[in-house]
Parts: sequence; C-alpha cells; structure tokens
Amino acid sequence: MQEKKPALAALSTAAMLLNSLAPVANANPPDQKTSVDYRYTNYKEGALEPSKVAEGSTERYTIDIHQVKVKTPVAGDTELTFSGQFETLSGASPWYVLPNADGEAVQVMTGATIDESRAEAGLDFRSYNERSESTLSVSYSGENDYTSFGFGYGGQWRLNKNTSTLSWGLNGSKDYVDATDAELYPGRPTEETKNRLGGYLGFSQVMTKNRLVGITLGVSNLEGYLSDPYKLAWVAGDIIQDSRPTSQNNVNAALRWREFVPAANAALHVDIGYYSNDWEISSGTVDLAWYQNIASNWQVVPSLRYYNQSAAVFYQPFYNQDRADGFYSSDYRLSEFSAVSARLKVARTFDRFYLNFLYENYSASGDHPALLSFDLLSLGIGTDF
Amino acid sequence: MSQALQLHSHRFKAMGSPCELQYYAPAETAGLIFTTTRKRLNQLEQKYSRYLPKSVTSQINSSAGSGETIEVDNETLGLLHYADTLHKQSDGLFDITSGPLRQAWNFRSGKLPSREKLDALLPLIGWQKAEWNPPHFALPLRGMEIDFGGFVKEYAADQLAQILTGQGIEHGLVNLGGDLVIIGPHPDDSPWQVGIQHPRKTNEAIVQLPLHRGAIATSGDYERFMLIEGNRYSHLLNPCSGWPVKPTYAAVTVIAEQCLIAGSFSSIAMLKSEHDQDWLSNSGLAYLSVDQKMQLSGNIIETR
Repeated sequence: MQEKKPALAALSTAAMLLNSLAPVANANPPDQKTSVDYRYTNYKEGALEPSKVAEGSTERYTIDIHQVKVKTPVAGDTELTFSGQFETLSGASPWYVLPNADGEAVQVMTGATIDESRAEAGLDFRSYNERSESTLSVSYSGENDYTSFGFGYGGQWRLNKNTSTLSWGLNGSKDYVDATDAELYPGRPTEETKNRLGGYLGFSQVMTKNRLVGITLGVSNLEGYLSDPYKLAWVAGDIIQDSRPTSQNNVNAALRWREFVPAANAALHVDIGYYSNDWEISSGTVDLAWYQNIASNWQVVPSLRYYNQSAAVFYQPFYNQDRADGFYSSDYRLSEFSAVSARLKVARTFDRFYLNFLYENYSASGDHPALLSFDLLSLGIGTDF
Repeated sequence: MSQALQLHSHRFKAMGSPCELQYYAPAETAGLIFTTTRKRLNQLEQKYSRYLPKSVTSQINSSAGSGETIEVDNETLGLLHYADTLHKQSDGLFDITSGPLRQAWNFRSGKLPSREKLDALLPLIGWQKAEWNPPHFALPLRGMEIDFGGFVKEYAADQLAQILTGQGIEHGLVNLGGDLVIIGPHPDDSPWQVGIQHPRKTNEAIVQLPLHRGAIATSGDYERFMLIEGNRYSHLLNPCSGWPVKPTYAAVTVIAEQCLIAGSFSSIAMLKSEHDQDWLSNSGLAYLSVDQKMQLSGNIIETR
C-alpha cells in the first residue's frame, strides 16, 4: 500500500471517524410500512358424472372466500400481521359409496345441500435481527360444528452473507368436533377432539447468482378423532360411520430449485415433494412454474402440478366383509389417485398498489366415483403506505 | 426464503438530485433492501437538509447569534469534524459557512453582485468563527449559516453502499446525483460503465470509465454559473473574497475507496486549481481533469 499523502491521510482519518459515529444500520429491519391486502376467491367443484351417482345431487361445493391481511410495524424491529378470512359454502358432498348391480362403486351424495360459513382469524408477531428472525403465530377457526385453535413458532438464520438460510418451525393445533344433527344420525360424533403437533427444518443455498436450491424436512403427529364425521362406509350391506385410526404420523420432504434466466427475464421454479404416513398413504408432487417478468410491473406465471398418492391401508370404496381392525373409510381423499393442476397467475404492480388474478383448474383421476375436480378464480388487491 | 439473484434498478429523486440504485439480489429480498436503503437516505435528508425547518442544519442556523448552543448527536459531530478537516486541508477554501454568499450570487440573474452587498455578507462567513465545544456547537452571529450540502450526498452514497454490502450485496452501485459508489462488478465480473459529464455539453459524457469497484465523484464549473462578457462565474466561491474562483479545470473527477473522499478531493482540487495546479496530482489518488479547452489529463487515462 502506498504511503498516504497528508491531505489524503487527514481526510481519510476524519472520514473514518465519521463512519464510526454513524448510526449502525440494521441489516434487515421491517419496512416500517402498513400494508393492507384483500383477496376474493371463488372455488367451484365440478359436477359428478350422473352414471357414478346412485343418489342425491351431482352438484358439489361452491365456496366464496374473502381474505383480508393487515400488516403494521410495532417497533423498529418488529411487526404484527392480522389475517382474517370468511367463507360461505353451499352444495352437496360425497356421503358413502355402494356397489351397484354390476358390482361397480357408485356414490351416494348427502341429501340436503348445505349452507354454511366459516370464519378464521390469525395473528403473527414477527421479530427481526441482523442475522435472524422469528415469528410467533396464533390462529382461530370456527364454524358451527368445528373449532380449531392453532399456534406456531418459526424462524430462520441467515448465514454466509445471506447466501445460506436455515429455517425451522414448530406448530400445533387443538380442534373440537361437534357434528350437526347428531341426534338425527346416531353415531355422528359430539365433543370429540383432535391434537396436531408438527415441526420442520429447512436449508436453502444461493448456488450462483441465478440459482437457489433448498430442502425442507418435516414431521407431524395427529392424535384424536381423525375420521370424517359426515362420511359413512358400506360394509356388507350395513352403513356404518367412517372410522379411522386415532393417530397418524406423517413425514414429508420438499426439494426446491429456483433458476433465474437472465436472457428471458424469467425464473423457473421446480418443486418436488414427497409425503408418507403410517396409514400407508404416500404421495409425490412435481410442480413446475415459470415466472415471466414483463417490463418492470407485469408478471405472468403459468404453472403445472402433478400429484400421485397411494391408498390408505384400510381404504376401500365399499367393504364386502368386516375388517379385523375395525377401520373403515371410503373417503375419496384416502383412495389411490393422481391429479393434474394447471394454474395461471397474472400480476401487475402500480405505484401505490398491486393487482393479481389467478385461475386454477384441478382434476383428479382414479377408481373412486367421487374424485374431485374444481375451478378456482381469485382476485387480489393490496397497497402499502 | 430467498431466490436466485436478479438485477434490480430503482430510480428516484432525493437530496435534490436524480438517484439510482442498481444491485443483484434474490427477488424476494429486493423490496426490503430497497426500503432499508431508501429509509436511510430519507433519514439523512431529513436530518441535514437546509430547506427543512426541523433538520439539524436548520436548528443550528436558526439559533445563530442567539447565544444558544446546540447539542449535536454523534453523527453530526462526525460531519462537523469532517468539515473542519476539509477547511484545514483546503486552506480555508472549502468552508461550510459560505452559504450566505448565495444571497448575493444569483446565477440566473446574469448580474454581478454589488460590492456593498458582498461586503455586508463577508463578516458572516468563516468556519473559524464557529463556536465548537463538542458536543456543543453554535454560530455566533445572526445570519451565519452552515450547509453540509457540499459533502453530505457523498457521505450518503457511502452509507447506502455500506447498507447494501451488509445485506450481502456484492454486485451493484449507488448513484446519488453523479456521486457514485460501485459495490462490485456485474456478476459476470464485467465493470460498470461510468459516464463522466461533459463540462460544456449537457447530458453528454466526455469519457466513459469502466469501474469494477470504488467510488467516483466529479466537481465542475458547470453546475451553476453565469457568463458575463465572456467570463465564467461559477458557484465555486472563495469564502474570503466572496468571488468565484477561476479554476484551471472545467471539471475534476476523482476515484477513491470512499465517495466522501472522492468528492472532497474533486471539490478542493477545483477550488485550489487557480493557485495550486499540482495539489491534485500530489494527492495520491486516481483522477481525471478536464481543462478549459476540454483537454483530458490525469493518471487514469492514457493520454492520446
């Protein structure tokens, strides 16, 4: 290093002193803004094929969902987020499956179409440090026959100049099930409970300027009433209440790959997921999404997801004989099936607010007569100040 | 969760100048990075702008001559100490108390100030008159003013670059009205091209300098000036005489590790060049000067 000339030495020393007196900038503080977001979603399940329905309506659920989120700074390094959701639901749902004259599974739908609503509220308290952050969450969800209280605590550490991130979380919930019309349908549960406890660990790494990869591993355990209070099973001519084990252990793994493509001003997101539980359901998911930026304020995101799962060990569409373990469920969600979901999101940011629009088409295929298909339309708007 | 690095550009106006931030960062962190830097810049502007009545500068100026002393915080102390060093190293030419001369020099008027007007203002000028007993500071005469405008933008550029670096940014630049800090080259290691303003042609670069990292600042006689009978009167005023200096250079560009240093040397070089043309070449810094005939010289370009 060359010897500093007097003027340079004097001014450099004064500049060094000035820098040492400057307030230390917090590396990752909250943005100190209040933001408000609103989203409306219309979710409509596809009608069932009449040939697969033995009785009841072929029309399924339609759900209208309103979501509001308000985020506000509390102090220089903390912020509070309130989220609320209200949904109204109407339509019929799959009740039980029975064999027709040819021995093929056909669906019986619930007789009356229901009209129900559900309200949900959550509060997140997020706290930042230069190298880490953590969030404490509580939530409540209520409908006339179901109440759930949840909590979560999670965080992340940023390492290697923010190129590595280690994240972790613990969460749990306690649910109360109190089925409607239990007096009309003997066997429907009242005053049942369900406990859930889960945790995850994740690691992500910026590999190059254009590439990020990450992995997350999670486990969870459910104990209590895990059956569906409104579903029945056909067992050798008898109709009995859906009846599942009272515990379930789950493991899941997710791999994440983000590749920014400078030439296209776009990013490819690849997500691969694996899930398995001790009911012998295991599933795999592949999700591909292309985030195309257009100019500085438009983004178009087409994506495609493929999902495949195996059936629960005790699942059958209907039962010709009793099971020794006493577990019966003909819920389509426990059957073997695969599903394809196609989505398109278009987002536009303006100076003071953003708008986005999402469309999704989902359709499942497999042996169950009531496998799900749905269309989802969603419009989001938000601003900060 | 962060994503792969992409280039983010933000253009906005602050401290009376067009500003620009460019950096490569994961998309999801970019918003927060921008708001953090923007917040710090706002804070510095609120604190030191002489136009804002609640700023530290205005507090000091409005209490001038009242007998009241202002207790300043550490950062302001650092800036005052830096101003003191600038005053010493420039032999009194760089003086943050020169502000009242603006009342005499209206560069849009096309008229020279009257002798009487200047004579009335000159007693209000002089850093040596400031009463400074850290952390207390006072200006003894009503009408005296200080102004950090001569170097606070350069300091701000360094501060923003430091925040970006602290956020893990390795590739990017901060540009506050031509005061630049290059944090690091583009991710492919190519340099940023920095255009140096042509002193006589608006919005035209006289030369492009490729820079991988470091700070660069330019001082010129073209920022505010008037031409009267073929003579150029610029905003570079000698605080002792109250008249513009007659710089040998039309512009001086200096490259240093810090923008504050680059800006200080380019400013002092302009002020001193009338009487000491070797000061800059003896400074030990990389520089480029443009003389009044638009000839380039200095130690960072090959002379053709």
